[in-house]
Amino acid sequence: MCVWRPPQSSPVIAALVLCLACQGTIGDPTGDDRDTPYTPEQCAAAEIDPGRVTIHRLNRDEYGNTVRALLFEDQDPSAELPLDDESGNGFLNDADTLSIGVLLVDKYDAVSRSLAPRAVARAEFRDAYLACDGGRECAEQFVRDFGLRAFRRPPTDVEVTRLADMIETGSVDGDFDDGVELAVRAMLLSPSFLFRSEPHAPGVRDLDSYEVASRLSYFLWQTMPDQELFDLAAVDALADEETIRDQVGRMIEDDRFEGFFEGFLDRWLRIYRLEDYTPDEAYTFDEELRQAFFDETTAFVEHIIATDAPLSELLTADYTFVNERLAEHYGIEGITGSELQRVTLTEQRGGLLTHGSILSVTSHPNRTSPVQRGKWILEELLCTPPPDPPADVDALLEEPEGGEPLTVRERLAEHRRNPECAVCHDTMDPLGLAFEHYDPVGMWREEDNGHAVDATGELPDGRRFDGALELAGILAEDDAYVGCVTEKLFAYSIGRSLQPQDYCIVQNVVDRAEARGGSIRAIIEELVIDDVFRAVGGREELDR
Amino acid sequence: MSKKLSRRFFLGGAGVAISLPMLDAMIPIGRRKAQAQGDDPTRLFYVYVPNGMIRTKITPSDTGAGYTMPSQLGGLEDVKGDFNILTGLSNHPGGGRYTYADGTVSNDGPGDHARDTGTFLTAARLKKTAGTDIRNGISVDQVAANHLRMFTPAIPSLVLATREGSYGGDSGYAPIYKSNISWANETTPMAKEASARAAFERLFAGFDPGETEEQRALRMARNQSVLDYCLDDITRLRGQLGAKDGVKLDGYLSGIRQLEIKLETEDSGVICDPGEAPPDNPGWLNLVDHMFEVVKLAFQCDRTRVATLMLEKPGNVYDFLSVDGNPVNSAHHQMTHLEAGNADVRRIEAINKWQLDQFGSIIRRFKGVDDGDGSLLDNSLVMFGGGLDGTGHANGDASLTPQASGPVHRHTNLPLFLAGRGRGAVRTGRHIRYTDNEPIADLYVSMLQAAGVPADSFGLEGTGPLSQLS
Repeated sequence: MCVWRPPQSSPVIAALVLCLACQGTIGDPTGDDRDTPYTPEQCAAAEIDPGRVTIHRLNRDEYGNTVRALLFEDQDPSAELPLDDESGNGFLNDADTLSIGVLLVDKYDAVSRSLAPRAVARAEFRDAYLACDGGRECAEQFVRDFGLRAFRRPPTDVEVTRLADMIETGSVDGDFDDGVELAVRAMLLSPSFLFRSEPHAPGVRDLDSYEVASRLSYFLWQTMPDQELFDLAAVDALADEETIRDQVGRMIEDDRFEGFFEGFLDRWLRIYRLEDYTPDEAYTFDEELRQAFFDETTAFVEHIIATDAPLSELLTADYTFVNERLAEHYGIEGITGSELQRVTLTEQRGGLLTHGSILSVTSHPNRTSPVQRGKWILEELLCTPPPDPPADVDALLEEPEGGEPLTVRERLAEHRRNPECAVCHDTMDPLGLAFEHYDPVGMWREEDNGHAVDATGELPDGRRFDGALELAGILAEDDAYVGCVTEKLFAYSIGRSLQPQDYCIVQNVVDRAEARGGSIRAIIEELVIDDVFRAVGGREELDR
Repeated sequence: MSKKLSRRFFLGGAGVAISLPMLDAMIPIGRRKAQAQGDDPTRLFYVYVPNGMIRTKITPSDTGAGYTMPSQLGGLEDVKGDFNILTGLSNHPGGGRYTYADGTVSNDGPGDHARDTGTFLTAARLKKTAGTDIRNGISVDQVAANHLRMFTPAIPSLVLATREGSYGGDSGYAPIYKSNISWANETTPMAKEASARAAFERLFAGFDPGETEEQRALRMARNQSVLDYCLDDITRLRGQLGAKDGVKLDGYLSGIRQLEIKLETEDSGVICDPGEAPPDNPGWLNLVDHMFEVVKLAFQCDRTRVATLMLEKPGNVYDFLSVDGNPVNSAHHQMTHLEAGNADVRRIEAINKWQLDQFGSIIRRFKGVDDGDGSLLDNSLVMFGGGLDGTGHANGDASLTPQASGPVHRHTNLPLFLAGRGRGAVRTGRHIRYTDNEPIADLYVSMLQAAGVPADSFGLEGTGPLSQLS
């Protein structure tokens, strides 16, 4: 597990370092420190290469989106495939974690058998790839046109010959379509379609424009490149930095950018968990609210990206998007209808951290969990996962037998009496306790178990805060925050987990992005024009 | 914009299913490899439940054949003679702290849920990592499948679950551990299938009784040409890539090879009518039933001899059950921490009771199938249970109440039940108490041997067959 080391001071993390060190996470006593990020000194001394990504199977969403775009298919064939395993960073596109075996290949085979004849019979498919109606020349032309898109690169001459042969021998009783169908089946089941692969070379190699096109489209769209990207690749235009920046702008404005929200945002913020969140009946919750939670966060982040707002605004914005149901939940008056509307917020809410979505997925069904909320901030915003509790510690927050009911804060304080727990929880708990005004479904409350809510806390550097808004203001300015968001985007964009020297790249991207306003889009742009996105290297440790 | 906002809940979940070729219900199919010499199939079925079970009401106070049925097993009275209660077995490699045979100590701290699931059928030590450098061991069902695939080459095993996808990480363990009980090798879990219909189709699809010999030959040739193309493409790719890529390509290659075997063997054997395919989205409770039925049919028609089923993820909500007049609508795992005290205990017991009723349902299903020389149950071994004692009381001491113990899940004194006689390998109808730290891995050795799989050890601790079974 990598530990993000902020280049400058981070007051929040400073104290955690003590806790991590005490737990043995830093300075691993076994001497195995290969996962420890490079320090700035090491970065300066090292020759940083972009590393390699393991051959990358299309994950379930990528496969479904790709097949639909490639074959003009309107149904989603990925419904037939098993869900993919998630990697430790929560994403579903980690090339090392995406495994493949007997069951999956069997499914790919069954799906391609069903897709191929339907595709060949489809008018859009024939218009796009089959302008002729038989003969060797026609077969070869089909393989070149369809193969370019299916393999996301021009097919080799050997592939063209091989597949055109297949079309000829597969044309039963002279039925050309039978042959085409067979070749389509073979291509859909072949590793050139199912995997994205970037051939190795000795040392560092620049990716070609087709490879860059695929990286861009799967990062920002979760699908194959479109015509414009293929056209640019054909003239090797994606070797040019400015062209890549222009494409990022275009791709972010495209409807397919939805794929980025599904693949990245939902997983990063963990709001996919809303789907099966079931709070206890004591809390107000229904399907309309579930959807509104999800919609609010989506609309809000869309807005932040569309307006190129600085990353800090994600945490500090004094506005959000609500419909009537959500407004009622938040106690905002004057909103009617099911459409989301932008509202200006005061006092009780502001920024992502006060969204019902995140407040809910970090709660237990029957009570808030300041520990989960604090942990979420450390993991998702600061990339500093706290160490595990020591073995055999009683992790309970039991209601005491008899006596006065306690607030969650009081129960946690009881817990921290144990010095073994205190070393970490002294840092974690205040972060989560700042959100005690929000119940397990994110509704504002003044009391917990009959006592007035106390949402105050103090950071290790002595700064005090009262409530979520003040804490969010502090976090938004913390150096570790922008570094962490960059780290998450890095891992997702190329589908691999970070190695020690990758932290040098993260720092470079952060520096360049901040110089350009520090928005999410600036980070994305600086990432994709970096060598890590446009080249592959021969780093030894990646093949360990 | 509004279209984009609603993407998840409109697009997610139930996608539009594409019907596969020739999957119509009531195709009279199923085929059985010509009986090999001395081939009397013994089937193995492993059913896993998460979070362990509360032991107090599932453990009889007496042992042997005349034991008094504990209250939680009330629904199994009619099949009491068909299974054994196994008390006192442990899976030590699942513990936070583990001492290897050479005295080396591994202290991995929390993460009992990852180890519960990950080690349940492997009896191996998980490498604690949240990264991609995972390591476990091969699971017992895959050891069996690797041997028994000579009889059912098209489908060496079924790996099923009632819930698809990732079940989440746990205390520094990668999510992959908590999401998979069946492991092909140290680093690769078997993908799990969560649709009974899909499993049924994989087992029984593809046979058209009206097809002529000529049509069949043509179809086979076309299928083979597709596979040949893929094999060539692997060879081409392999030359361009490195060692880690090779591992992925090996996984892919095993899938293509399996398709070849399926193609070669699809036409041999006797007819077996599996009946109607299960529906696409039957609802969760019905899905559980359909899963049992699919396994039964697969065994009955000898399409495979090994199956595993993960009966839910740890955080499932069993709100169709009710306790004290209220639905059990808290997440199962959340309740095992007993924050609500006895109320949680009663709700978990309701879940456990329901789980054991499902065990009864499997037993009755298998018992009702005539397998030629006895019932399917006579010729199977069905292990049902979990990898945690679920309540944290002292090893082997079932008298402690769960309330007194707290939430520390232990990997000793596991809740385990074994149905079926495995062609005479097991004598049923008893409560067997193990008191000498016997590992669950020994049970796995016994089960492998009963199925004719050569094995004298398994996992880190299995050194021979388990005592008292026959």
